[in-house]
Amino acid sequence: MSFAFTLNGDAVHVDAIPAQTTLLDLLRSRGLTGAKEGCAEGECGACTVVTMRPNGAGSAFMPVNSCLMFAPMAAGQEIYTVEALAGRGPLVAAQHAMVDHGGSQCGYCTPGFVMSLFAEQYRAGREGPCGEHALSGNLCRCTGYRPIRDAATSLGAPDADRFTARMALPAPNCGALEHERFLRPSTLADCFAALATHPDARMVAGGTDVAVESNLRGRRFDWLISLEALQELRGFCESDDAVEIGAGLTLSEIAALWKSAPAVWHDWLPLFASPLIRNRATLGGNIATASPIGDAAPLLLALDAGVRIAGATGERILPLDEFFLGYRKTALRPGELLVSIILPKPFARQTRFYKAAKRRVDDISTVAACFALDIDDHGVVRRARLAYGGVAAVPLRAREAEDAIIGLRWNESAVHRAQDILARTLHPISDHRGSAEYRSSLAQNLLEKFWWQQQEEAAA
Amino acid sequence: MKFAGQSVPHESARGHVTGEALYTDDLAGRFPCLLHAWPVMAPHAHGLLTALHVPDGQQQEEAAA
Repeated sequence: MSFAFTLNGDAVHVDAIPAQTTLLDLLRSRGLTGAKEGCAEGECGACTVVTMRPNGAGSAFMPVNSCLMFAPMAAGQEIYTVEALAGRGPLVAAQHAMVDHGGSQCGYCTPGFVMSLFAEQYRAGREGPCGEHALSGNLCRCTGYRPIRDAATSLGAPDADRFTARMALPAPNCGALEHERFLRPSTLADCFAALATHPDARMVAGGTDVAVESNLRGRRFDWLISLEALQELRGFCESDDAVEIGAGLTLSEIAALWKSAPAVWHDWLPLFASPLIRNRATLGGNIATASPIGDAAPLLLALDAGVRIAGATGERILPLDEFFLGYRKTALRPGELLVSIILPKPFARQTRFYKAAKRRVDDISTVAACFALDIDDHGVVRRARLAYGGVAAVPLRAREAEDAIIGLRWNESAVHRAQDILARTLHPISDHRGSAEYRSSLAQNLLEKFWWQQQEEAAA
Repeated sequence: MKFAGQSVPHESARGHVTGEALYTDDLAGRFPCLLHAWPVMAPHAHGLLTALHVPDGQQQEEAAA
């Protein structure tokens, strides 16, 4: 059993390698030690490499965390490491900029920053100087971010070179794969067959959660079934009544496809993990992994999402609200998988998302909340969705508080009434991210913040 | 003071941005059969070290003490 991929322009064949070996370890074992391991959980970005992804008729450089990819996920792909940029020749612009602006001190994180910056400079459709937000999946603990930001903002459009020439050509197509105990079926029918043969297999899409379980907790899976080659999970369809988003689309792909997304989506997206994670993580994965602190659930619950579930015998649609059964436990039956997320229209007129975490971006939430209200011309609440993450074993809607404000004028007294109910009905836990009391206060105060922001907006 | 007021690049900057700068873990793979040291905490606050033993079941080639 072996697989092949293209690495820095050369064909590479990989024989007998355990399926849960990270791409990072594979690269480093080949002497490409520019990519480093800092955290092994997609937080620091020191392991950033670039993969070629389809972009219209051509392709795009997409930076990803190589520590969160199992090596077989690279099968069929085209990957570049920092060693490919300058080679033995002159530095490329992103490297020059980091040198000229003093963007490195100890240098350990630098190759990761360089790869993110390189991909950002060559991103199709980008205009003006490179944005610092493209680097929000890379952490530096000694240089300080100002010189790194200076390096980014000094970069404009790339010159025509071998990289722009590469972008004009198509990206490779990743098909079916069987490597050790890693299966990547290319049709839904084959996937159901694989699930039937290996009922205990762990399904994996982008892998940004499963790989953390593997890297940090040492979890070993008997079988892994990758959903990445299933075109059936990659649809995107918008009508007057709903938006249906394929469960296998990455957050970055959805952002590119969903031109008419509501404002709350644009507020929410930069808070979802980091650009590097968003380039791999799928919306379906974030839901199916059923973490109580996943970023997507509060948003989708507030938008009244449904999920389309498929199994060998057919399909069913379930409200997302009924999908989370317990801690990391979902309504998916053996042999079933998530096909798409359906968001009914029209969206609530007043919707906001909040994520309280220890860092503004690139962090896991302590409490996340999404509030969606329809308020009529008389100021009366007609529909209310108060959705939370981090306040229970599952993401949830605070239904009693929602019911209590429907029919009320949306004023401070209605806010306080909902807060009293939230205090009584939410039962968060204490852990290293925050105490139960702190979380409860956050859950209540975020609603009040929502109200105050609405007042400010109305006054403006 | 010919350097005063001048911006001088980090002497290792090229190594950093190209990935050529080698750190401890990068060197480890470049020396086959490299002996790795792994500190072990003493389980006793005032113990006297009298001997070192390779853990049972480990081959002599895999562990040294």
